[in-house]
Amino acid sequence: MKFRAMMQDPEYMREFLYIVQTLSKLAKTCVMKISMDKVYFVANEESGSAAPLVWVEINPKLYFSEYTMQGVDSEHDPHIVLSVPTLNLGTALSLLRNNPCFCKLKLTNLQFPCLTVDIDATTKSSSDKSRRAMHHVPVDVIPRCDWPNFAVPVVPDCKLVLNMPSNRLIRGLIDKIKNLSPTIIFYATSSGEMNLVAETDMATITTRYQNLELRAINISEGDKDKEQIEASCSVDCKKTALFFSALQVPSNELSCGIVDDQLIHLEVNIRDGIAIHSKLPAVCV
Amino acid sequence: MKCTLDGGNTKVFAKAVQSLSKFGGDLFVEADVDGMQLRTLNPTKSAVGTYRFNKSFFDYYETNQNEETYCKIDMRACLTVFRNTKQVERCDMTFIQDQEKFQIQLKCQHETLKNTCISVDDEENITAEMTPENNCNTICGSHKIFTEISNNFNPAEEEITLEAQDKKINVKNYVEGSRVNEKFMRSQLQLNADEFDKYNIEKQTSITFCLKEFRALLMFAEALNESVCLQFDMAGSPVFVGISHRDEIHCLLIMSTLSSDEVSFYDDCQESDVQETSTSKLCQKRKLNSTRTNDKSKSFRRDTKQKCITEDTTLSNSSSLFQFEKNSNKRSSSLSIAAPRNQNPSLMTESISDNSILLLPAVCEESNRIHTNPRKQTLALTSAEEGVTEISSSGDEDCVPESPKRQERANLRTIFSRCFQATYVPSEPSTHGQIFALDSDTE
Repeated sequence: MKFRAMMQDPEYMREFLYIVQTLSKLAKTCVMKISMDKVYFVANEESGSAAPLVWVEINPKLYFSEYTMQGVDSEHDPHIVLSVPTLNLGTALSLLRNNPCFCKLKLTNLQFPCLTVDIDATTKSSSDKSRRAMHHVPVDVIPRCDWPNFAVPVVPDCKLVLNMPSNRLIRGLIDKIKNLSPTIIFYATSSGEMNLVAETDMATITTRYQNLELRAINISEGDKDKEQIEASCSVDCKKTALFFSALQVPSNELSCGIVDDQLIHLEVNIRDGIAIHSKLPAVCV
Repeated sequence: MKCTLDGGNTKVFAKAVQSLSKFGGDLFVEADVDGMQLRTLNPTKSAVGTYRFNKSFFDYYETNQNEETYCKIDMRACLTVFRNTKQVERCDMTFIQDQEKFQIQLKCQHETLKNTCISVDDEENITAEMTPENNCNTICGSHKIFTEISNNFNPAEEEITLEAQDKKINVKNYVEGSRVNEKFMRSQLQLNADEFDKYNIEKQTSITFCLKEFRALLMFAEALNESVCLQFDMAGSPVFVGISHRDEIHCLLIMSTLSSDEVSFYDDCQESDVQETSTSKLCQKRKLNSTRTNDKSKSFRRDTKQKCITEDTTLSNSSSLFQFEKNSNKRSSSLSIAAPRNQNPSLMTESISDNSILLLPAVCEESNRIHTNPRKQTLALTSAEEGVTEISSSGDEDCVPESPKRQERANLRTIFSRCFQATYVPSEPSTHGQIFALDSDTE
């Protein structure tokens, strides 16, 4: 099994660092699925932790200037599936903050399988001051027999998908609602209105956002004649709060998709081909 | 002793206490005519931090002439007092009740007065009479660069190795022998010498010291926005980390470094291809265990080889801070006593760990015995040889041929090599380790 990738654009490298930092706030380990077309990071819902299901999709041809992988030999699409400790990877990539020149990722085996991160960073003052960092992050190779357990989640078909206002506003709001009620209801209409509702014994608190851009809409048979399509779903407040507080990426493109009474799909579109997704299941009120 | 601090300086004082609290559990307060100093030791007594506040730092400072008051108080008590200093306008500190209690009065906004009396545990102090030599290696830099270096390593990382060369410096995390069984992360950072304000390396060395105490000091340096100065000699000698703020505050952290015989398992790895194991994770774990033990024995042999090599090339094994001399059972050149690294007779503290005293004679016994064994063997061999020559010189038929000597079974020696060695392996414990249980078998 071989994996070698190199990044050379400082902006992309900083984004990669933010993505890994976001993952490190959500889960201790994440599964890295490497294939010829895509690289996925999946942070599974660990039993006992409140973290939501989050996965990151990266198009390697965009991010990496050089990308070679040789998966486990098989006739089907070759993959490499690794279990990566996120905090260690985050520490390893910390030098990406200072205008790096290049960053190489390699899968190596030194006593145990490691993801080798080789970063070359130059300091701002003059070009001959350079710093080099080399980290070997221990990873676990997941064998083929376990791959079905670590399948990448699918983006659901949402009834309504709206662009949400910035993360900064939402994060503060949900943190406050977290103290009031254990569940929060997302309610959206096709006219660009999104309401976040929290119900307690004594009061109902609704926050309305209007004039939001409608991203996508799936009209089912029964709703074709209605003027306004609505969708709502109630989800666990703590999970939602965790997701929003963990986001380290500048999130201007934050969209929320609702499947009526089933789940909420949140997507942060960093750039074409790079996105962070999260699925929040519905809970009974 | 009586002293008063204004609001701003109280905040600085509080930051000092918070930084020292990361070290250890006891705060030694010493006040003399020129100023007051706070000192603390870390639990393994391998690092001592001294924060000295000059008379000019205080608004009002009074001590009895020619009297040095010193005491030991509980760190946590002190920390609780200085936890929140946002509203503090003035701070008064004094000793009351005939030096039995240390009183801290915080005068806060809105006419609030917080009064705390901390009982003095003991009247004792630390003496660490160590000063850096003038011609040792010096590296001075802003706290920012050192913080960036320390951020490159895991927050839980214990020790780092600094390899100082002419134009470059290499910082690696230290991997100790006992960690070979787990999966550890290896980090390395290379910097150019120009990034530091002052970089003066007389002799190229590499030293290994604890990161935890260094980070605690960096926290205070950040609060003061001052630069940090590192002074060190060679592996085994202590490293001095100092901060100097406006002649009012002087901080010195003296840390022990690992002696040069300690080899990090950092470089003991060879690259190979990653293989996929076809079994499930559970089986994988069992298989890995068996391969790990093999690796450990192989790497231990490599380690002892490297140890011998380093012994040849190092300048000296003894140091002022440590009485640590390597137990070389393979070579009968120097009969040495292995002492635990933590033991430091120059630090006068009340509680010298009893464990280490007990360990010392036990290890002495072992080392003596192991030393005598090869000597006996060599004696036996020489006598046998003499016997052979005598017999052959007489050359009679009545002589009974000597029974064949036992052949050196090299395999047995290497498989059971660990049994012939002292149970106490100096390479395994770290400066951070504490001996909780003695070797069970002293024979």
